[in-house]
Amino acid sequence: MQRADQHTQQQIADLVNACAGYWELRGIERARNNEMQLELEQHLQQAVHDGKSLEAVLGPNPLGFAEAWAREMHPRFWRGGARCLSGLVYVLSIVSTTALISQLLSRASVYALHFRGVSAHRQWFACSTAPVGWLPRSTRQNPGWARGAHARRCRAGCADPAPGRDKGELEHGTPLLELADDRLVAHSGRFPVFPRCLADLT
Amino acid sequence: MDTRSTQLLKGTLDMCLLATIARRPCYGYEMVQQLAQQGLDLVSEGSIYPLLGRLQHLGYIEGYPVASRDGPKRKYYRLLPAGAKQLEHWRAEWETFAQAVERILKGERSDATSGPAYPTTDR
Repeated sequence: MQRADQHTQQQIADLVNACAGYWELRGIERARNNEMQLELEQHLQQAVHDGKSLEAVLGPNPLGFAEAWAREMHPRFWRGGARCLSGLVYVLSIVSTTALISQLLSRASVYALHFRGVSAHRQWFACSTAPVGWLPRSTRQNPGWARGAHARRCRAGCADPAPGRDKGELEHGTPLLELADDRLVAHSGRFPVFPRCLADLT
Repeated sequence: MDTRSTQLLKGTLDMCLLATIARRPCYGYEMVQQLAQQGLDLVSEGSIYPLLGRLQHLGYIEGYPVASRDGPKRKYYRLLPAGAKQLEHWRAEWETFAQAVERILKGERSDATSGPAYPTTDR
């Protein structure tokens, strides 16, 4: 068989070496890798000899070709292992995404209001689209015995403190719809802060 | 080669390779030449190698080295008994499929669907 010109020979060698390197990275054993290299090189040589281009053998994507061949040359248990690994990665990505989203949703916006010398803080889920919700339990929440009728009267913006609570502090369970109707919340003068700053504001 | 032909070939190439090897043992480039002689030109000739690898793993064919006059040994492939059995199965499957497509393309009707050739209005 007549040898191709030097430039084409170099191209063939480069392509075969690139494929061999990829197969090595894919964990194909040395003997099999050598066998595949030889088979590919012989095919390329003969194709060039017959006037065909290298692309006619490898297609437009040599990496895709190398990958397709490597995939088929792996033993069955490796293919099963790869499936398990990809499944594990998939599950982990779902878990991490869920954790990230829940973290974003639970990041409360805290609004500090100053009205007639009364300081009140209100908080709800910043990303919540629901018009009605319930306030999360505060670290400063009163125990059950302290939440009486008087406490219920001291809702949003109330100047009188409920027993065991600071001025203007909201009772747990205040509907957010009620807060949305509150003109104090709906007007300017509010600003978001991170929950950790809450203690500094109150 | 148009896309439909490529898709059809993709779905049948393993069967064609098995049939080619069944005729007589041959190496990769030889198979491509034989397919081309029969009218099947591959978009990328190298696409036969992943399939040959799969057929080998399935136990349908096996590779073995043969001394070559042109240089190093060539890898030839030959059919194994499991491959011969599988080829028969694929051949029967293909014939059923091809006959059905041919009937549809020729506009023939099977007995099961006999009726008017086109919908008619009730009078």
